[in-house]
Amino acid sequence: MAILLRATGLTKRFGSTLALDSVDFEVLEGITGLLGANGAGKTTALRLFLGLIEPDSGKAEFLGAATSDPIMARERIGYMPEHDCLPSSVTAAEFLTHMAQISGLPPHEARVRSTDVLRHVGIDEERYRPMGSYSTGMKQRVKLAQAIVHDPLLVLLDEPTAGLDPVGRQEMLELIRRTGHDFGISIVLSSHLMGDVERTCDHVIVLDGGRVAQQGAIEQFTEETETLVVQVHEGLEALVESLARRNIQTSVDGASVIVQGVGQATYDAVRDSVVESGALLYRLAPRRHTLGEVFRTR
Amino acid sequence: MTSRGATGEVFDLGYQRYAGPREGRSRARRALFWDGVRTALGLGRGASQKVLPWGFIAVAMGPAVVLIVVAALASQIGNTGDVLEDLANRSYYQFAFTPLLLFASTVAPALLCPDRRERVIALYLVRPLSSMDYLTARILAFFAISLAVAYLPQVLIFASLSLSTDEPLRYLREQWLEVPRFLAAGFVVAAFTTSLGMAAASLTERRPVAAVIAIGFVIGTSTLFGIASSTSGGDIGRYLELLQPPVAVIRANDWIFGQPVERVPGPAYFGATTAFTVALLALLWTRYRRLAA
Amino acid sequence: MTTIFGLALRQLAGQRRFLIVLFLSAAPVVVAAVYRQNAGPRGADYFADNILNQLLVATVLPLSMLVTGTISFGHEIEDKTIGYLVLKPMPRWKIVLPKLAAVILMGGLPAALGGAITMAVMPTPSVLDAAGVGLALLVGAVVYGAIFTWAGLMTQHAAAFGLVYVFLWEAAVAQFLAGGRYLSVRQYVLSLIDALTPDRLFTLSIERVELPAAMVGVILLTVVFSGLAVRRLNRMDFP
Repeated sequence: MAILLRATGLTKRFGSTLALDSVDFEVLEGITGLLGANGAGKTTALRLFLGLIEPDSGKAEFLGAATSDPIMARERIGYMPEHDCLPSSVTAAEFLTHMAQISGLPPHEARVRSTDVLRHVGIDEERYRPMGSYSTGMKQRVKLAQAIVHDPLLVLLDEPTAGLDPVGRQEMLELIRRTGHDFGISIVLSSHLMGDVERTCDHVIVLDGGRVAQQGAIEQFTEETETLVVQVHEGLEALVESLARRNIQTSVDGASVIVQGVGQATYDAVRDSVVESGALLYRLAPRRHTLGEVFRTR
Repeated sequence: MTSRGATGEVFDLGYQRYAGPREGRSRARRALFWDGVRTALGLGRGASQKVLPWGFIAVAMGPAVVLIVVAALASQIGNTGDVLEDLANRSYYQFAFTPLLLFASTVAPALLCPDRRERVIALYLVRPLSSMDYLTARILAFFAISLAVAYLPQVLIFASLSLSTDEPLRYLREQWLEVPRFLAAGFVVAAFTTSLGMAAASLTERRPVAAVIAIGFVIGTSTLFGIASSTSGGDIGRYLELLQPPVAVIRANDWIFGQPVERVPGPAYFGATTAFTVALLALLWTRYRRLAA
Repeated sequence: MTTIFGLALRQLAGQRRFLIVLFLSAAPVVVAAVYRQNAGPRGADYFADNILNQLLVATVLPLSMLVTGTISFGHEIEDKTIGYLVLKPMPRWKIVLPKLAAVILMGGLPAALGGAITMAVMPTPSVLDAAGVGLALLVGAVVYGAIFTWAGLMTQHAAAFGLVYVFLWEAAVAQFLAGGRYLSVRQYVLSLIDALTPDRLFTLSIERVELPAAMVGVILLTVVFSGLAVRRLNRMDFP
């Protein structure tokens, strides 16, 4: 599999904060998750690869383009920023056509691609309305569309599910999966949510405090992230003790107990422990780890 | 792909890779330029976006139309020359400067402010385009429009003046020099107003604020140095006139048209106008260099 | 009403453009202070009248009111929260009035104070001049405030139309067309200054609107444009 992005000793400092600390990683074809808490250096890494900022040391290379001109290399790369970036008084159709031309496509081809890509992201009749009237979900889809309208080899998506409700989030992740697997466009998906990355990506790179904490195929991570949230009114400590006696790993997060390593036996153990400790149980739910928890328990 | 029966059936062709031409940076520049022209003139947008630019264009064109009518009437009466002495190519920008200035202050920010305010610029800068390509395309787009608005009435005036005489060819022979002169004067005026409007736009994300900054700059400097000039007197007083943009631009225009220029030598006014233009462009350039980083 | 007033004050003060107002208001004071020692060959009165006419009345006052007035409802329109404001069970004039008061306070008061101080640091200072100029500018601020607040409700391009009114109509047309003078806030303010101050503006040979006409104009324009703003709020439809 071809290597699309390569970071070697990549370092970037903003004032006194070290955003990226001599980072090495490679991004292969397919969908790669760039996982990290806020401030872990994800957006900085993406901006370095786009050539928007210069690294203090090390290299951020885009190997998909044949050209050595960093500006021309952007012909084959797409970017969807986290923030709003759509002009409100322009229609999606006109905007996509314009953006395709800015990426170097001739006007006629740009118009054809614009219609095609908008259909793929599920914007049909609405594309002739000014984008100011769009819902958050539609805006996110147009943002994705503008990132792939010029048929790049690779797109960088920065928190594409931000601000979406659960249904919109599912749709967006499905769209990203289709873009990556059916359209054959490689993707780097930056997210702070383990769940998003798990459900969508083939590979994952975990950034923490400006360093690469983990990288590899996604399967390595999913098993470790099954957790169970137990919330009780009283008897929190008794419950934790009881669980500990059953060799169940727990951590306390405010008023809830987080149980690690969930399997069939875990549910039985939790049930027994609740009864034994006399705690008043009012919520029991499986949950995936957020990244912060993965690191806190390690 | 076939359609079956009356119901028809749509086949999803799936995602198509793009194998067509990619024209890179030059296409990007051209697309931004034309998008700038369309945005400034409100083309392809609602009527409310058209009112402002076309209103100012009408105001800037108005006197030329009046002039044509007067010229036509005068030629019917058979009395040309003296009547039209004041209404000629050389004095046109004395009037048109204010509408052109207002046009640039209110419309030019439309090419820069919304891109930053709505953060569209983030999408431009990740495409095959440098931030200076972006800025240049936007400046040239507005400059092209300003030039057109500055030249069109001059062309009309020249044409109507020559046609209203008994011997148009003789008029052309005698007055042909007016053409390169108004081309040069229009260039100077349009360059100044464009760089002023764009520089003001680089200081704020909001169009109305940019307009107030641009107008405030012109009114402020001309009032300030006007008062200073009239109270100081002497040489300092004379040279303080150079710092009043409207005075400098109009006198530079007079100088280009070979008119007598009072108080300070004509080239100095021309130099002052050019200096203002260059300074404003430098401000614009530094602002966008910082924004890009 | 006090809630809306307080909110409007905070919106206007929290903006960077309030710095523009402060800058505009302070500029004439600085000019006056710098040149008071050297008022030039034509004398102190000529100098004072020019600053008053060209800088204070023709530039500082309208621009200050323009930047505050046209955005008095700008926040609500931009965030599309104007619906919440006008769905409150209260008559619309109770919304317009406090907004207008805030605009006058944040735009007009600095300009009026700046004007008064400018007169006070003139080579020939006079308490009467300062008070008269301050008062006249404040009256002008009320009229401009009403006009620009209404314009801000009508169109996104209110600032542009305001600039056209100030720098094309008042600066050009109203100076040359005798009738146009009667529809120019600048002329009202000059007329008021003429009446309120014993020895200002006499060095300038400008035609002025008669005081009664100016008073009628002030009241008429203020009432009409505040009324239009109320009417506009009544008829606005919200997304």
